[in-house]
Amino acid sequence: MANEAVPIIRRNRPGTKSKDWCSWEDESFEEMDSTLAVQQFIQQAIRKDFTNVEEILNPPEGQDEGVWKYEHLRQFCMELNGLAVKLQVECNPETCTQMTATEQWIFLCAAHKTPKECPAIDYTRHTLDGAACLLNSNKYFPSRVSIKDSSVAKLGSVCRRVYRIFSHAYFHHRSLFDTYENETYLCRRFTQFVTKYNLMSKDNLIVPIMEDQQTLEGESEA
Amino acid sequence: MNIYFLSFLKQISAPKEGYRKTWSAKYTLRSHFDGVRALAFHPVEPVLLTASEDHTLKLWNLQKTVPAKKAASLDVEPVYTFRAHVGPVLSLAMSPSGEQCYSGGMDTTIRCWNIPKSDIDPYDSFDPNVLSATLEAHTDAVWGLSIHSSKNQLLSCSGDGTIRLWSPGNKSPLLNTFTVESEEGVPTSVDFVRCDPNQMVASYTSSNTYIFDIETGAQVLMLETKINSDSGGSNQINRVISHPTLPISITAHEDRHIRFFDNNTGKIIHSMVAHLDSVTSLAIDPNGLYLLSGSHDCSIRLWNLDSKTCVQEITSHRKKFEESIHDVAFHPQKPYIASAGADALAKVFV
Repeated sequence: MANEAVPIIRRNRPGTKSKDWCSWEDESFEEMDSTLAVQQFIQQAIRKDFTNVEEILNPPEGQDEGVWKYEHLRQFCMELNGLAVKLQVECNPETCTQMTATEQWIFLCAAHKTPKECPAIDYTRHTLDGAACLLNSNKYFPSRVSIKDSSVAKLGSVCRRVYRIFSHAYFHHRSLFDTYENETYLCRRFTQFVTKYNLMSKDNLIVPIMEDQQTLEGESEA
Repeated sequence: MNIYFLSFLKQISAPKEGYRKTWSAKYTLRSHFDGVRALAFHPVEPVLLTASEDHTLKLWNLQKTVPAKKAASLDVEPVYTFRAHVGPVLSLAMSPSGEQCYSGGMDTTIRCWNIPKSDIDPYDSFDPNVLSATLEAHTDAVWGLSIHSSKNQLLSCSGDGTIRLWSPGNKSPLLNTFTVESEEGVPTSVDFVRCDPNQMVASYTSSNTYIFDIETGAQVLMLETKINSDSGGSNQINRVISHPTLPISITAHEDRHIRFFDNNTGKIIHSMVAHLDSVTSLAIDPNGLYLLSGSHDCSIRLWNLDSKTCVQEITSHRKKFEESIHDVAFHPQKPYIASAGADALAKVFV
């Protein structure tokens, strides 16, 4: 043992300093033998360069597309917690009484038996909590290695709902949005993701974040 | 064998006659998006809290279940999600009343929370008063927390190399800061010495362990953890816990061992290869009869503290990179044990 190369053990042990968190050498996708390989692969790409959206959304060869989309959406919802934390401080239920972006639509919160007009901060929290429930549901997503088509089909509606968090932040808490976006590139990545995989219609992508994206006048269904 | 170990054996001989409990998986807690780093039970109710790398903590009521696919196990949905940390949440402690909890994060903060009632509507309005205070003084990730059962004092240890003592709720909550001058490592885990309210025990990445006097801040004793650990490679201690009634500290090591030390002499009492991979977590049942350990070998193991033999092994979580199980816990009153996994799940066994 003594003369062999020390194998890399990829662990964040107790005591790890924040600058050393996950600071190990990249592992190739082929070498990842875990059932969480796709999550590992996505997170590794984000840590490497969060601004390289194209690379982060580039799947390994032969990757099942349903699982790829599912794991990305889990990652988006997780990172959106960061935006929600910022909104909790600034987005007041007395001033943002409804979930709106532009004046055209009021979004109803789908977390309740009868969808209702929650204040924007509640809409944000309920939507992320609801997404956590659905994406971890044993009924629809019992496995992270293979996913039924009928469950993959549910991802689009999760995308539409969580996108409203970006659009509300952009139109009503612009400096907060800009700070967060500069730290994460999350709205850019999300916009490119839903466009690449046709998970949302272009009309709904109202945050003008991509260089080639034109500001659109109309918006479609809630 | 020293005198404390003998009294230790006398005091805690497990019931011999016939019945020994076998634990089986009952609840799977799915809702986190990334590894669950810590968990803690409510002191009385069938309720627990989990802290995750997904930046959140979640509150679970085990009496609110939804039927799962496998008939034997049940799924639970969280009743509340705590958001304030920026980045992974790494450590957790529950107050003795079950009304507050404390969480330590990569963001260097400790958050003090008022725990909502376990029958709360999960989709209720946002209440900013759930976050009651933020304790700031550490300058790096907060990896360990321990709460005293009667003194309203909280200990924290951090990647910044310090251990701090807090009185949450005070106007100036930071009471003391502990460092060891000669120490090259950083603290990984900390616990109050349960049989001596003036002492605490802390383990380090260097595999050193010290006992401190809380009042004076002085280091009282160095346990002989380092000379009893494997010398090659990374050999840190991942967890140290104090026996609930005896002057004994128990350490969980990266070198797969669990070791027992005498708090009065610093000498080793017992050492055992406990798992096939690094031991990450320890918990003792409220009666001091059983020890529960978690490991990156994907299993949790239950040990008879009297005979030091393994009475049950359960494979519980899957691996993410080289990590599998981050924490284990005993319910203080009810027959529940739980494990927290790098696979974003928590599991409860009955």
